[in-house]
Amino acid sequence: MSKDLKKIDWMRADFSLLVSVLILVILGAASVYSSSSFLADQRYGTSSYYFIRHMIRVVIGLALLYYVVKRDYHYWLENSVLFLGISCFLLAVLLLHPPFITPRNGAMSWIQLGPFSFQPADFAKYALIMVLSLKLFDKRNELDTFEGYLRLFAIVLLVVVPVALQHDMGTAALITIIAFLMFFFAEVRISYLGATVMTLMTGALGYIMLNSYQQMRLIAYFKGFSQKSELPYQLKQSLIALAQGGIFGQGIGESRQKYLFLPEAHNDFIFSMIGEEYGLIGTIAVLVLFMVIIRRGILIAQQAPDAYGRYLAAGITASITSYALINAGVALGVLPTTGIPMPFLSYGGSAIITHLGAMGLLLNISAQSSPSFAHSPGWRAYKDRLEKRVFTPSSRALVRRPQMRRTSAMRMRVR
Amino acid sequence: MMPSSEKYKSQRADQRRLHLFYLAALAFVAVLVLRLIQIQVIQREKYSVQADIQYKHEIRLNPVRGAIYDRRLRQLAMNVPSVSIVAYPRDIKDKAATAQKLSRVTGISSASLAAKMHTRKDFVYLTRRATKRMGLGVEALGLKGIGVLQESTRQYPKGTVASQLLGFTDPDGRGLSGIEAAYNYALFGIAGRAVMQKTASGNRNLFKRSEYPIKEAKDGNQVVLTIDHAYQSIAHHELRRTIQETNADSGVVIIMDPNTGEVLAMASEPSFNPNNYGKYPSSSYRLRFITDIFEPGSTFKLVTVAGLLNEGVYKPADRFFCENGEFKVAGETIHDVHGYGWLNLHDILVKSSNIGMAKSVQKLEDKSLVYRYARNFGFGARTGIELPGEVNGQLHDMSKWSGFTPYAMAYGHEVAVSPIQMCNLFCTIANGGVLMRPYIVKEILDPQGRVMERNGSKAIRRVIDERTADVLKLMMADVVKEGTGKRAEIDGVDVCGKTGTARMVRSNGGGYIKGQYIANFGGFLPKDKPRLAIYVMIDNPKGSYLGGDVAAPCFKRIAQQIMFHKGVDIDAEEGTDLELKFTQDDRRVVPNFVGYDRSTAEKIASRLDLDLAINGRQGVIVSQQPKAGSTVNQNAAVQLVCKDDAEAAPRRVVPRVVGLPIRNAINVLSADGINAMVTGSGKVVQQTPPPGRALGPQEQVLLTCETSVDLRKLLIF
Repeated sequence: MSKDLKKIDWMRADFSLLVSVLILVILGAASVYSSSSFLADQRYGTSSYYFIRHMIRVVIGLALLYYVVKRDYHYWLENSVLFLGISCFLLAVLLLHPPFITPRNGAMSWIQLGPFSFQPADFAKYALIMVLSLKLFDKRNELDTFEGYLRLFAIVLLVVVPVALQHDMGTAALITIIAFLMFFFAEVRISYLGATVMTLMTGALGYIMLNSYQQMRLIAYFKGFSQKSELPYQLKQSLIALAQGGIFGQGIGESRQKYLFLPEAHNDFIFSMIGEEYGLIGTIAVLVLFMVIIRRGILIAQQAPDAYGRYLAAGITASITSYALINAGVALGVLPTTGIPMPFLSYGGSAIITHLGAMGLLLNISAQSSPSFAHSPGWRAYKDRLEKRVFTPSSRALVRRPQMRRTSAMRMRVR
Repeated sequence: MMPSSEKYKSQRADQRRLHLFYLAALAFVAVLVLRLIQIQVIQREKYSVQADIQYKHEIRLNPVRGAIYDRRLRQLAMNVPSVSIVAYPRDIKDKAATAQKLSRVTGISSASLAAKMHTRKDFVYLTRRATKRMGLGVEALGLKGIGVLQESTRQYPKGTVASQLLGFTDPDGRGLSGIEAAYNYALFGIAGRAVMQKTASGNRNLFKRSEYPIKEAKDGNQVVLTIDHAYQSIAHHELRRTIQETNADSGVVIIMDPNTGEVLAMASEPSFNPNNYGKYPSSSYRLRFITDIFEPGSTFKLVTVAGLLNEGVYKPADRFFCENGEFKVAGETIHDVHGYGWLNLHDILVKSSNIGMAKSVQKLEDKSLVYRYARNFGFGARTGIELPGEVNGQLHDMSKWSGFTPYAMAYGHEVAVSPIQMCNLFCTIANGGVLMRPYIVKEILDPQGRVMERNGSKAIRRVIDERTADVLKLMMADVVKEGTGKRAEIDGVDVCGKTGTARMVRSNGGGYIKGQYIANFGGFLPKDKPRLAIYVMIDNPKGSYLGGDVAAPCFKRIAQQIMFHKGVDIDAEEGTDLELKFTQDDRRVVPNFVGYDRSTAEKIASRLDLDLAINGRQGVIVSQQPKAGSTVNQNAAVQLVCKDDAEAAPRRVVPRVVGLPIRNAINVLSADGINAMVTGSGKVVQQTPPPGRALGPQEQVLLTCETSVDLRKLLIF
């Protein structure tokens, strides 16, 4: 890996990706305020309790994004092992059940520091993605053997096992999925991946059988398919919220499910709240924006200056994709209920900071891609094009077409 | 880094897998979009039903209960804003601490507050009818799970006065007794309904939503009684005083207008304060004037005498031997308080001789005469007054009579009557023989003060001839002047009355209770044109128990005070065309002032709480602003223009001449320079224009006169 880091012209970064992310962040902030105001007022006596906290994190996240965009991503990759080490240490600390940890929704995965709480798993996830991007290329020759593959896979377990032990099965499963996708992108043989999947599935099933909370959720999910039985409460409320929205929505701030009917409305079920306030138009817009991010992410991976960048971009894209789509799937009852926040939208503690940081990485990679990156022009390219268009004679003619208006007096004269 | 060929190969392979991933994501998003369309468009109805179930909460909107007024529109019962302190026990974490804090503000013991909070209910009243100040104090505490509800409480500003008559309501505003119960249907109004937005935290946080329907409550109508609070207050306090002085058990006073049947006052003791009726025994709630029956005794002799005179069986001068105080008939012995020899019918009534009364019916062929007249006077049947719980009384059918019954009935025994029936007897005699239906509700007004329903006086039947009534009046006047009712005599006015003393009947009907009496006295005044009929009944007075000693002084004091209140001419205030009209509490209809003199106008204005701005010092009011009939606020200024017409000097205000002999009347008028036109002869019975009006330059006063035959001559044959 090269020691000397390039100076990045971040104005060349992928513009549409940034815009999509910013739109989602703004929409998320509005929805967090609307959906949490009543709850905040009930709990803390001020309707903006959650909103202010969310906005502070958004600002931190955007600052991080800006900082990351301007630094060559190789810098982060070089230090990724250290990040993973710190993350794993924090995860290990959590397992010791120190007093500054309070359980949330059955999971012991939060560290409380003063007014702020954060999930080490959020950092661990991206640290893992960075380490994997580094190792998948560095150890590419070992990947051809099952033994070598397993050795790399052990890194994944380093993160997943402590997270699972904290009863945060949703995050554990998601990190596994993201890691798998990275292995998949790195041309690991399908047979290897299949074998691991089988093993892990068996292990997960065994775990579920032993854990009543997880069992309940899963049973509730499969029950949901038979029309007769009652839907689980959260899902029922989520679907009511979406249905209330209809096509055009109830209007901004007009949600009624936020009156504590829909638990975690500002958090895991913010997609349903958007559905209620902005309707089908809003939900489809959110999905389209995520599809834009996914599309750009994959293009950035394809156009990345080197394999590290490619894996890193693909990993980040896989992360955003799996979080967004699984969250939406849960809200719609397509997938079993798991506590997964929606990236950029949810009031999700440290997640919004790490996700925005990851976007910074992605943008940085896009800024370093080859100039022939035609599919994803940066701001400069847009500006050039716009300037050219403005000064074409044809467009000018379109704008300023001389107009003669006949007045009635003129008509009289013609006669 | 890596060789370019390898990089190229790897990149292509990566691109394939990346592309695969992209397609998979796209496919999943397509599934999500289909599912979104299914939920948000196709199955929308299904979920909106479920949403409505959890969103909508219907609440009742309580109407404001209508007020009750007396005839002068003084508020007797009204609604005052109050607060209720309520708890939502589920939201209270530390019930003991909450109760303790509340206790400090409310003064209710923390133990009882905590006991109320320990319930499975979602909502519980801690106290109702709390003061606004207490409510603010509780709000200031800001306790979780404790709320303050704005409600309204029924208040009776006059306290114990007219308490039984008005009755009271339960905390939810439903009438339980008296007018409150009888007219609950009118006073209550119609409750409204509102659908509110609920939250998942229960029924505490409710929101209005424009798309949810609200049916506003319709406030209750208002009831105007015929009662005059001034009379009621006098009756109340005098009755109370009498009962205290005589140490009696209970008592009733009824004041009626004999000409219309309007009840002007109805008092009964013991009374209670309807503002906290719970602290009084339920016996004090009883409307004794319509629910208590008793043997009237001598007052009932009026029925016998009225029957005898009306049928022409005897004349007042016909004489009977009164057996010197002891008379055996039909196996029973009748006693008189004092023994008498020969007495004429007039004296029998005046001296109230039981034996004389028995003798007067002894030789009757028609034994049913007294029974018939008692029926015609309304005994044995409800009067039909608009109050709940009225009783018939007892008037035994002739088939159940013993041989002694006709004699007993003649002097008021073996019948049971209610006070209202007795008062109505006096009214019937007073108005010249027509039985009127007593009534107590004058008008029903809608919440804005428009008249919805108006009760008028209703004549039921003529019971005795006018002439018989006049003779009876003379006899009754003598009862007061020289007979048993002497203590009811009032200087300056002729009072007619009749005393009665009866023994108390055992509640099981078997004989009398020794030493317990009911003293009663009824009467009316003034004799010639009665305006007031007053009936007093005192139950079980200690010491002197005679109606003339116990009830008559009470009657006198009441009558005197009313005369003092209204002036000696107790009919003076009535009869002007200045009717006090009502719109709303503080709204007034401007009366016509034009044509009246200054002092009269001021009197009227003060009665209506209006301020006057009079332009001009003397004379007659020629114009006013605002016009008569328009509505203004209380204490609004009415501008009047007084014109000092040379002809219409201040002396030309019509004086009162009704009741004067024609010669005197003309003298009085001519002293003021007024010409009079006279029709008829004798005494002036009517004058137009009424007194107090100023006369125009050419106007005259029309006097209607009638000769009243001195019926006294009839007695001396």
